[in-house]
Amino acid sequence: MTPLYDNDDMPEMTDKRTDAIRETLMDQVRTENDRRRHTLRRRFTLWGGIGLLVIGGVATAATAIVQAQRVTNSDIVYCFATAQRGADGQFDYAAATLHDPASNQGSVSKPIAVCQDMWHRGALDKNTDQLEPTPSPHAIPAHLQVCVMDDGSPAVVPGRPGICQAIGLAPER
Amino acid sequence: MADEREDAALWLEATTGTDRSFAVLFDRYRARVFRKAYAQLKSTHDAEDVVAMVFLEAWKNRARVRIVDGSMLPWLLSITSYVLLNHTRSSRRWRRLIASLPEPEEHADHADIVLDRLDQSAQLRAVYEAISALASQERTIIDLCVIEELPVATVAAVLDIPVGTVKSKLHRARAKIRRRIPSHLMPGARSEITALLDGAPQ
Repeated sequence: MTPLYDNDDMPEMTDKRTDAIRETLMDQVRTENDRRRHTLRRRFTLWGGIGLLVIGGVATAATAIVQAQRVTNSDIVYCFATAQRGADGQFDYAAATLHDPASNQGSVSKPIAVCQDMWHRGALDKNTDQLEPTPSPHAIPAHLQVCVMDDGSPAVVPGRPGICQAIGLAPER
Repeated sequence: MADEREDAALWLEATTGTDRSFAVLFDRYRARVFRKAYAQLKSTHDAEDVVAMVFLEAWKNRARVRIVDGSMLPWLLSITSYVLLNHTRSSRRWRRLIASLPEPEEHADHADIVLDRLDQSAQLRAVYEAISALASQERTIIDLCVIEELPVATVAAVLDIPVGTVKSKLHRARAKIRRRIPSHLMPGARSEITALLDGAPQ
């Protein structure tokens, strides 16, 4: 496979420039690999840093959301019928309070007991006939947890510990 | 002692950081690349610059390497063809590295004398001029198939296009070149170049 242009009269590459080109190429390979390693290291560091920031941010946000809080508003209790939101994005609940003759205001010192009573009376069962003269007792969920609403009032949610965080409410401290 | 390892093995080593393997490939093919460049540029200095640019381009495009029948040469020749046809652009891209090479030694470049001695060189120059007016891919195909006399299948593999496409483009490019070359450079008697342009079997 000798091309047409090839002939014996052609000069050769000069040794000096050949050596210089070879050295330039080898240097190019070396620096390119060093640069690639450096780029990889820098990229790893950058994305690692971003990853840590994201994880930290998510953890902070999650902590802020689910951090345990105290009940600061005992005027009312929200008894949740389920731990799932309805089609409108709202929880199905019934609110209740007990009259405190001393302060002449509503007061709920034992939110779980109040909601257990609500469950027992069927207030959280849609199928209950509220006009029935002798209402039959309804089942009470085996596990109820006290969560804290944004306004500091208690919400009693059926479910095991951890259900408050799962639905985006703070558990009671 | 010459390194007997295959091109593919050397290239793999080079791309994983063994600069010495790249140097072996350079020494294996630099003479062929140089002669191709020299035939067209007729200057030792410029041809040496082209050799440097070809291997720098090869390294830059290492992810697209094509080793055909165990040889890198067809791919390097296609890069040489590209560098020669885009000499200005390639020179600009590698300006800094080329400038760092030592200045050429002063000596008379006898290229013109040598080439002018040959009738074939005039034909070759005419062919090069006609080639330069072709579309980019046609130029590469005619360069590799006609000037370098590489098999059509090899050229198809290097350019990553079907053999049929190479054949049809080659046929069209040959016709265009024959129309563009002055008739006095294409005498009635069939020379090697006219035979190739007419599509002599490879």
